[in-house]
Amino acid sequence: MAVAADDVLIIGAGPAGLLAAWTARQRGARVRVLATGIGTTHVSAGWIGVLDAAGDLNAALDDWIAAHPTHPYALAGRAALEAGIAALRKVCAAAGLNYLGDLTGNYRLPTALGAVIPAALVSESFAAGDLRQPGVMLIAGPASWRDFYPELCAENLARQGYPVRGVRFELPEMAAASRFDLTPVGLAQLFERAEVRARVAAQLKPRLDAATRVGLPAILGLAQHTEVWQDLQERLGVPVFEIPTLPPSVPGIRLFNAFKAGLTRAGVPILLDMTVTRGVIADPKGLQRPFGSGVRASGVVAPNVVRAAIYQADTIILATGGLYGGGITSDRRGEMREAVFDLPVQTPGEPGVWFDDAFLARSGHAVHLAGVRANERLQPVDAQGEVLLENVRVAGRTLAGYDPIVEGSTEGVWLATGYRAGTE
Amino acid sequence: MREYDVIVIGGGATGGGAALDLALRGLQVILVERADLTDGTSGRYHGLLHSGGRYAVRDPESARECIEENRVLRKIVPHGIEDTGGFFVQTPEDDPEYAEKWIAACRECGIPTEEISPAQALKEEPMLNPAIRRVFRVPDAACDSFDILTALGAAIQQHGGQVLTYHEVVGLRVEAGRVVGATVRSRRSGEERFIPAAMVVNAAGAWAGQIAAMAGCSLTVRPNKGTMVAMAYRFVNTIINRLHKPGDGDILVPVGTVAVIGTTSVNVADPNDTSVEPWEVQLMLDEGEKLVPGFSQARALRAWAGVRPLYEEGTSAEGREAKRTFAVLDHAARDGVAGLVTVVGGKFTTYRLMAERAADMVAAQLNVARPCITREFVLPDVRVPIHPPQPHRLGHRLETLERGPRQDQLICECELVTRPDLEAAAAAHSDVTAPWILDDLRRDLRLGMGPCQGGFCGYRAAGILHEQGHHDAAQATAALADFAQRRWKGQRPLLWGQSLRQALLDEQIYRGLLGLDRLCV
Repeated sequence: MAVAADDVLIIGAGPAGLLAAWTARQRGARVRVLATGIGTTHVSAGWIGVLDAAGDLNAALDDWIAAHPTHPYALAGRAALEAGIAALRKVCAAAGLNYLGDLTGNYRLPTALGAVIPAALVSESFAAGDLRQPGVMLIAGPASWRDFYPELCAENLARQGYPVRGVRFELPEMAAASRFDLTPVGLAQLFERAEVRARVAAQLKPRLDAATRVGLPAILGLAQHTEVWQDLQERLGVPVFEIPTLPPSVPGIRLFNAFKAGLTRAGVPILLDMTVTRGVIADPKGLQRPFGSGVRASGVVAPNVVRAAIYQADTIILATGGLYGGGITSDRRGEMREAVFDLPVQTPGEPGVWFDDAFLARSGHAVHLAGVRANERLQPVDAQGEVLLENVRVAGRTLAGYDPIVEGSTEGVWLATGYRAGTE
Repeated sequence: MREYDVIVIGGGATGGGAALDLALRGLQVILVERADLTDGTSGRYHGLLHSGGRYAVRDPESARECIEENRVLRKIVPHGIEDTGGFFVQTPEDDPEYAEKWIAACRECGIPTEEISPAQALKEEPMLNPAIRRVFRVPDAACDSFDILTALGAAIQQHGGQVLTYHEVVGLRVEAGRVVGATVRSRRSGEERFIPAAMVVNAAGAWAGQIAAMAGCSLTVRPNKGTMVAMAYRFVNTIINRLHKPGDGDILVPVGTVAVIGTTSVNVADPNDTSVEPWEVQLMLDEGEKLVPGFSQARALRAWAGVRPLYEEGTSAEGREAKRTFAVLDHAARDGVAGLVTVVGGKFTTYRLMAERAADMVAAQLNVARPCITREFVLPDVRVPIHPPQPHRLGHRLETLERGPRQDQLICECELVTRPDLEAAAAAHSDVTAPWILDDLRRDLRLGMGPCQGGFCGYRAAGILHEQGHHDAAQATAALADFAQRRWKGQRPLLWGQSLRQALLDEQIYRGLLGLDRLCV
């Protein structure tokens, strides 16, 4: 039974789907988002990695696209990446979350382990952590918190030549507030209390010594994040920056919340806990084959407790994620399937070569290359390039042909393909 | 240099049992193991304390040893054993005539069996294949080899013995036809040293042939690999055996929160070959499906292989045809090399008996009159002690945690490892700076053995080792990389469906959020 008919239906509430929804809505379409649940924002660092390259990213991206003609960046195009970045900034700024940076070069950001990861854009509470800047850092975290170890972070950074010290501060609420532990989200809520920040700052200020900036785990508030961050900077008298923690990621949740607020204001319903079980092909009886040029999807099925509800739309954007997110499923026989339309999945050779013996292999694991093949309009295509479903677009991690971990392109592909799909 | 009465080579159950037996007879003993205790075959099995039913038809001697030792181990190490009981089930695929042979053989071997109706069995184990035809109850149990070896190691030291882990025996010194000691090499420093001793017990399992060769003795142990798969669900609370001629994938053992299916039986050239082949995993899942419908669709957690030390003096039977009995070899009589005794073959279930026989031979040669007391000697409960001592059961750890006066932070949520647990285990460790320390702590605490396979607890544990001053940052980072790699090895054969999703999340944590790969070039 058809319960809705929209211009654009987005399957998936991860960052690519949310950006596609916002972009399509900006262009006047009636838009709806259906998703099983929240996407990978909650396990991401919250920064925007585009490409792990030194120097000017504009030039590096041009070279990258020239060398990788089927990469999502090549399909969506540079302009879509830049427009996607602009859209992200706008949506987040409206929620008081300011993203800084551009494609002229990568920030170099400390991780909780004290490694250094490049990213093109960061929310402003991360910017002072940029290791391209000189100056002594103080890394601090709550004593005996299981999810952040400031001395380990500092010592690994120091081994790489950065001037830094690590210290712990007491946070007595940790013992009392919860039976077993506090998650990063719990601590972020704690930091929204001014008296907690006052106590933390009072402990840290005398220990600043020569430090010109202070790094804290990314727990500086959720709804009141900007106020929390600025207040701590004022109390300490030096810039404060955040460092990503183990999931759930507070900066990722802020990003999700910013999109949710923007879409809600724009009148886009986001329906979570709505798992799409299959797609519906228009006029299947008149067609001799399941896919091909001219074949259109008319909607998707999302069963609820009483019926198999059909959501119809002129355009359907698949932003269901990859093997992690659930947009691509895999079984023990080495079969991979696209979860909604059962589109063919491009796999990188036989299952035996999908995984390297070394977990941390420099070259990464070939399995990441698996996904749905698409053309420059992000329509799903077969190996010969023939369009499989005219009015379907594929965005984000569902796409084949890239390795976000090795390339450092996770968030960049979200934005470029989410934007491109939303403009179709 | 301290001179020992006996060097025992091999930190598995047999070596641990032999060292304790000898220490309890008043001898000065050192146990030498090339890695951690249970790193070899003892730590790589499914965890079944056999009733003997599996061997009753074809190998009654092993069957008798199993039922006898089954009863002994329940008394002496109750905290390492969960009394699950066991079923032998006849599925539609199994030859119905085997059952009568089996019943008679069990009676012959003194193994109690009780036939129950399939309806009753399904009432107790609703996940079982409803098409099963006959079901027999036997006194199988689940046992934790890590717990038992920890207890053995503690008992050896309490009785004056020494336990030297991460030391590999690289040579036996033979003087005038007699083994007078062993040269060991530290896995950490590479440093070698000679340990003099009046006698050497070779309990190196699948590696026993290599040890014997160091004294010029020829001993052909046939390494036979068995692969097991741990599923993320405890489908059954009872051990399930197929009622047929023993074959592949016909044992399902509930262990903790998981269920382990095993095994394959593959001859391998190298006892270090613990590789898992894709066909072995698929076979385990296909066979599991016959016991528990839907089995192969469930989430597989981890696959591993152990190498059986099959040995029968004077025969060449292989694989499942080879008997599971054991041999104690006096190399003085056999090869003209005095001072060396090899104990090889057997099962985890019969480790104590093997140790007793080997220790009897050593004691006789050293003119020690004190008898074996391990049949009655209750092993210490040194991990999360249960008072009064009683069989281990699932839920004990959670109850201890809930009853505790402090609500400690969980470092490993899957296996309920708290921060004080981890700190105490690290502090008690003799070589806490070793790069493989997190894997040792895993054996101590079950750290990282649950569904997330170390995705969260690895970083936390490395952070705590650093915070407590055990490690500098480089060491903590190396330890984390080592742990992540070891966890990956067991997940790699099972990467599809939910386990693939988990592995991708773990990769996102280790690489995307922590940048571990960038620190380990």
